[in-house]
Amino acid sequence: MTRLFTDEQLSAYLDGAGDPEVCAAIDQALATDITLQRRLERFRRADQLLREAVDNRLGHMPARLEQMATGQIAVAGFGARKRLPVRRLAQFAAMAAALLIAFGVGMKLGTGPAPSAPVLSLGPDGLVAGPVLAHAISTAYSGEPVKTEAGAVSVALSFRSSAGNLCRRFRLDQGAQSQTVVACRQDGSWRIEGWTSSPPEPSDNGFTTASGPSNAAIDAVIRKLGLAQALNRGEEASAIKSGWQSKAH
Amino acid sequence: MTMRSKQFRSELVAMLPRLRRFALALSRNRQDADDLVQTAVVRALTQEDAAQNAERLDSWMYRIVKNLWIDERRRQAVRGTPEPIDNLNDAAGDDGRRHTEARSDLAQAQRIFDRMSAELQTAAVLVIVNGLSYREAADLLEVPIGTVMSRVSRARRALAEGLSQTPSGMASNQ
Repeated sequence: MTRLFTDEQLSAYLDGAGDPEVCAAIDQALATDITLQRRLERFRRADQLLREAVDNRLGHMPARLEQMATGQIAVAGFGARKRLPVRRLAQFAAMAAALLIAFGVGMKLGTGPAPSAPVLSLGPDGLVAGPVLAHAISTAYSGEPVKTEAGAVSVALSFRSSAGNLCRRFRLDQGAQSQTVVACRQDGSWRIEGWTSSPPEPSDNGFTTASGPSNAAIDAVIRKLGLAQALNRGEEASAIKSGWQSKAH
Repeated sequence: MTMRSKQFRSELVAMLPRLRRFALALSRNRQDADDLVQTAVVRALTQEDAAQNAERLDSWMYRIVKNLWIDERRRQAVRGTPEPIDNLNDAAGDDGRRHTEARSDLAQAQRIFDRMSAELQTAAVLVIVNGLSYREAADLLEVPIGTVMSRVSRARRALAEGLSQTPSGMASNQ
């Protein structure tokens, strides 16, 4: 007489976790029991389709996950201070990934070496400029483009925000890619407040004029920060010398 | 970056697909799943020593994802229940396109998976898809091993029965 097995017993058998005595009986019954063979086959087919269905539901792996895990988006000091809400973190990381890809760094994922230093880092309060970019933002004078490993940096404006932070608007050119970025000095880092992609604008000195849709977006970022005071050349030079201390004089 | 650190990151990258599946089963939403995994990765990188010293990195990471999800659920309870699952967008309709999709085994498996309770989904994903043993899944989910066995079996049965109603499923059972 054919022994009846429960679904749970067959399921455990498939997972290699069944009771040894039951598993031996299943093995024996499979030699002759076509109904049992079909039941197991249905389960195996269900397993295979489940694997496909789950991965199908998830879709492609977001590039930012691999970039964070491999260090192409740096995670600096996170958790030491206040914690970013998950959504906000995702937003910043997506922005970092977009910027890295825009700068031609993200495209190297899996096929080339990681950059020696990330253009951007993910800090406790959002994205901050990486060391190379930060040095350029800290030392460049408005209207005098500087070339760096991260691309050519052309500062267009230095200003104090209504919160009292010193901020700079600059363009970062790398080959055919160009980003206009606003960053503010905060806790010794240059925090990225906003950015927009735009084609490089032909210019004799790399200075970006305030016109066009991308500049409108950046102007909106500056309006939100509040342009309390635009720095003149002398004030800018003082700020560069003092390392961009944000306290109002 | 030290060799140990490189090895750690490489293991972390290899683990991402499994973590995403687990996070999907917990959150029932792809976006939330990726957010969970991302936060878990940040946690692992900022606690690299602890992660590297864990007996098994995969168990450590699964646990981080689960705890993050518990925290998130508590926050959701305070904020109110979020919009349930992106997968409900796939609820079957009666137009021609849906009918065509309904004939696909994969689409059917997806619908059955979407309709499973989170308990069945997590057990099925951990054991059937990610290959954890019943003991490992039970430890992670903090339930008796018999509960995992029962959930996996129920998930399998739901899938097998649902799939047998598709034309190809019926053919294979003749």
